[in-house]
Amino acid sequence: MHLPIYADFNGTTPTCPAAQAWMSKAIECWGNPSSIHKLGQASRGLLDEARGEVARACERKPGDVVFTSGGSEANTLALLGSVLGNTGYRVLSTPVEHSSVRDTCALISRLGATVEMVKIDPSGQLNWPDFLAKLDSFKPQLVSIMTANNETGVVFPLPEIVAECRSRKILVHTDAVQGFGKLPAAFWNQADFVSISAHKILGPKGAGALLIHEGLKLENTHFGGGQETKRRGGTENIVGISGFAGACTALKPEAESVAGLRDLFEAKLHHSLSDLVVMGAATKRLPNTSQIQFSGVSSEVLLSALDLDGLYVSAGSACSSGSLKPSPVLLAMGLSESAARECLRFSWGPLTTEAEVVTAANLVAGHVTRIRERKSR
Amino acid sequence: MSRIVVAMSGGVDSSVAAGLLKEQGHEVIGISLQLHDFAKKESNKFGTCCSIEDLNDARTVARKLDIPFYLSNMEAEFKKGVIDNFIEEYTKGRTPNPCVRCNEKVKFHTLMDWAMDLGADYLATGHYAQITNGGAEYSLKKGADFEKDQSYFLFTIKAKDLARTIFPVGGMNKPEVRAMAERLGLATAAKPDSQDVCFVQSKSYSDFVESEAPRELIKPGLVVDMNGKELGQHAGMHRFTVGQRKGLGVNSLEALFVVKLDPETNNVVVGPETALFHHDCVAEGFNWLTDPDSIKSKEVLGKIRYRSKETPVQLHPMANGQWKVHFDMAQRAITPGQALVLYEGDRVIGGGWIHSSGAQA
Repeated sequence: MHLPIYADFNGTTPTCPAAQAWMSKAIECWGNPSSIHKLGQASRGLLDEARGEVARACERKPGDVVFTSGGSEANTLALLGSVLGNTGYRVLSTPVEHSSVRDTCALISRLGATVEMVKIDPSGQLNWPDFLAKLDSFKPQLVSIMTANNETGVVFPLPEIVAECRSRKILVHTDAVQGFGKLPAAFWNQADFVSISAHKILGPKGAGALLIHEGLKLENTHFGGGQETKRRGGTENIVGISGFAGACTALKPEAESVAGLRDLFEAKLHHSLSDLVVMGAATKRLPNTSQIQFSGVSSEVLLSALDLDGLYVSAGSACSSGSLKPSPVLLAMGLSESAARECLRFSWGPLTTEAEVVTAANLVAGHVTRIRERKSR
Repeated sequence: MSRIVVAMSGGVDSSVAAGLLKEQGHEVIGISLQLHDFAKKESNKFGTCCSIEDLNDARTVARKLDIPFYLSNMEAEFKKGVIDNFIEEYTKGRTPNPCVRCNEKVKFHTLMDWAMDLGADYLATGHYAQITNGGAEYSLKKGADFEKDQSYFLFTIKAKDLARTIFPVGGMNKPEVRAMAERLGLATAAKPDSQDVCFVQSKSYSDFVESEAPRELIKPGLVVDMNGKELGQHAGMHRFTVGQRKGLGVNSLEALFVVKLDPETNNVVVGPETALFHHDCVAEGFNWLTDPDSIKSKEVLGKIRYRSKETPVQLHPMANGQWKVHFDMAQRAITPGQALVLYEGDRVIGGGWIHSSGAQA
């Protein structure tokens, strides 16, 4: 057996040796990067080095990288920073964004901005005609659309989105937290603002970045000593940022790392179970993510049963207490609440083996069959 | 070794229940129910049970005991089965018992299902009640601590579910439970007992009903005496329960009590205390934990509310699953909506919901 098996890489990832090595180096380097003295300069040097590595991985200029505490803060900075100081700002987004985008959209609406949502097809894909129509009728100043969905893995056509927006002089923000490391940088790095996170690419929690094209105006939302070219105040989290850089140096070409695992897993499940719905199966998805509805089986129960066996997966989105709510992403795709409560997400990573995927599929099929049989008695 | 799911409320009783089973060597899985969305406003509405602090306490205890712990979101089931019923009953002039409903609709239904789907052999809770197995029939009995006995709240458990239910602290008294919690080093050892209905913590019941009920269900009406003479007006039946003396809004030389709430006329009928005493009532919606045909030969005791003493009754079946219940001793304030729980000695043999009392019976 290969237990425990980790199948929640979209949730977070373990910290890889390269990230750990960079972090160890940074722990020794305790000077404040803003200090003039040699200790400060040593930290500043490490920070610059880290910025260079992150920029290289994103195929952007080091000056574009603004370090944040993670993807959520980067998302908040991009949206809130764009709206502050502008009256009547119009933002076009989607109902399937990460909660940090959805909740910031709610905030900017209260601050006087207008936010509209692009329709989502039952496939989980962006409704392209609706997107184009809203670009012309709503005339947004900023479009915020994620690169790939964290729950379903559905990939949105970022290059086309950027092209359409650019021809209309509309700015684009993309939450690329799930795309970074899984899709080529060129797929998402043309957006004006790009949110990325360290802990989804084998880096540590607590570090992320917003990539900002040179010359773009963005209000600060986080005040301090003028760090990050006055875009993100507060003494830099050198250890986290270094870990981020370390993870970037070890980033493998996306396709070779997880290719085939998702399809192998789904094929195994289809072989042993009926009444499965793979979310987003009809459209482009990340190569590592399967969101699957097991009809008649509560995701809470299945998740717990798998956890007891040592297979770690996730479902829906956690609410404040940690229990599960029906996922807004699945509801936006047109699933009923009860169907949404039957969905589990399996997300594989560069450390996953084929043997693990096969074991996982057998465990899932076993529990689903057992629970369905019990229900039918 | 059995796989046992323990419903953990974050209180000391369910903490110790989990601890005891773990000590006995079972595979214990803790689960807490989320019955309310704490992200919403008024999140302090849940105070005594299942609040976010309670969930954290349960999690802390599970960690201390080194058992897996999960949360289950049963908001929808709780709203449908318990809160909506609570509101509806009050607006119909009945006095509901949400704890019994929660046991019936949530804990021993949805959660039992959850536990069995998880492959558990048993569901355990921290209730003060006992289950014994004499021959073919499982019996639900009072907790050993008669002060804390909660068997009244459990009469709706289905007979078949008794075989897969465990009450680990049912044979203990409260001081023993607290001492055990102390010995196990559980953070909840000195936590006060929960009081009152969990979802109306910060409000009176009537304020809660008024804030949650559809407007058309809140109907003002008349306060009348037993001859139907108008004495005053009221803002809605949900503000009253049988036996209530305060808040009637009526001036009178003699002490007046609510003797009846009439949903037909929307009248609150008041009268002297003597009018509260009845020998008879009609109950319905029974759940039997023994063969109802066998009760003729038994000395059956009935209990009309949690804090009343059980007393000898005679039972006569009527149509539609209703039973006429005659109490040897007149009972004060038999209240529609409350549970009539039947005992043989310390064993619960069944129970039903009080439909009407006295004169109407």
